[in-house]
Amino acid sequence: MDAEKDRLISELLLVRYHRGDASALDELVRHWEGKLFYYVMRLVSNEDDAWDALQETWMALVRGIGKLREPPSLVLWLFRTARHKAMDRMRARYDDRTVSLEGEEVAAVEEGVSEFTSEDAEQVHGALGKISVPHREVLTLFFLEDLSIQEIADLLAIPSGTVKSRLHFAKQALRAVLEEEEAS
Amino acid sequence: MSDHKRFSDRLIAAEQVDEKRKERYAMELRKILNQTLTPARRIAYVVGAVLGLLFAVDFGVLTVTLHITGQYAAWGRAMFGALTALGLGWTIIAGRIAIRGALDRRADLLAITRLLWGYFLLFFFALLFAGWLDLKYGSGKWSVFLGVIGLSYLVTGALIVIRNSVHQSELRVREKLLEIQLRLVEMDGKMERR
Repeated sequence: MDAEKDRLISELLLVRYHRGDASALDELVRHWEGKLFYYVMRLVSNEDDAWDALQETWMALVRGIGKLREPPSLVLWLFRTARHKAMDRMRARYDDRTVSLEGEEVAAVEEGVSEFTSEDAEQVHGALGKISVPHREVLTLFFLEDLSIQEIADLLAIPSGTVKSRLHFAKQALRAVLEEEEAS
Repeated sequence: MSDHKRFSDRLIAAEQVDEKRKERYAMELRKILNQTLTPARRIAYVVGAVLGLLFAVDFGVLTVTLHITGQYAAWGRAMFGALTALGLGWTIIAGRIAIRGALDRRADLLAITRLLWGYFLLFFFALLFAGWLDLKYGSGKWSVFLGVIGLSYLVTGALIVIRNSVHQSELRVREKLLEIQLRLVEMDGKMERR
């Protein structure tokens, strides 16, 4: 519901921008910068890089907004561009970490169900930094709830089955970190 | 679902950021969002404004000094006067953009479209008038050619205006539909919470 609302708001702002309302672009940026920053920050783990990547994402939006004629794909476009900008900054390190997940097992996962509640948010935020980048990335996208499993698959250029299994193992890894922290 | 949403909001809120870095980002962002012209584009607008002014001065001088007599003198002067106005119009638009250093998407683009339409309309009448003069006083060989070129100006101008209007009305309809959809989703959310 909220994801759908966010999507509609973004579409509306894009249409208003195309109608000549320049302030719609400001609003669009305000609407997404928190989420995109959070996502990018989970990838680059360096605040300077994260702000720069986010800034470059907005520059790409300003340059490409005239060509964005399919508003429903805007959210995916934003995440994809932010990801590319983050990758540009951290390419070498990130590639090494991605390789480590090759050949991952496929596990059955219930789609759209999260066992974490809002009370866990702060612990989860801390624990996210302690799991591998690919697990962290897929889990962050899942927690932000703006993209469907299929869209996450498109974004990461992997099959949706892999997204589901990666989510499953990412949750296991996160739970392990949380349990470890609780025990210590 | 709403609890899950709160989860994502709280997750984002848990992110600790350095205020100085954030301020620096905000400053850069303002520049990006103001759509500040790059130096090259700003120079291009200055050059455009100067060319427009030269165009206006040229035709302005012709309007005042040209010795045309007879029953069509007023028409000729009006034509040159309109060209002067077009040149001045462009100078004002381009000059304002260059001074401001940013493009106002709504006002500037609307003004440019109108000016463009004026340009095509003026050339249509000018060419039609020239064709008619050729038919009446000249050999008449050029009249058809001038008429066709004039019509092509009119059609091109009309196409630009129609395309722009259709696009705008499509966007208007889309905007209204999205507003309705958004309201429905919000109402649905309120009912769900109750």
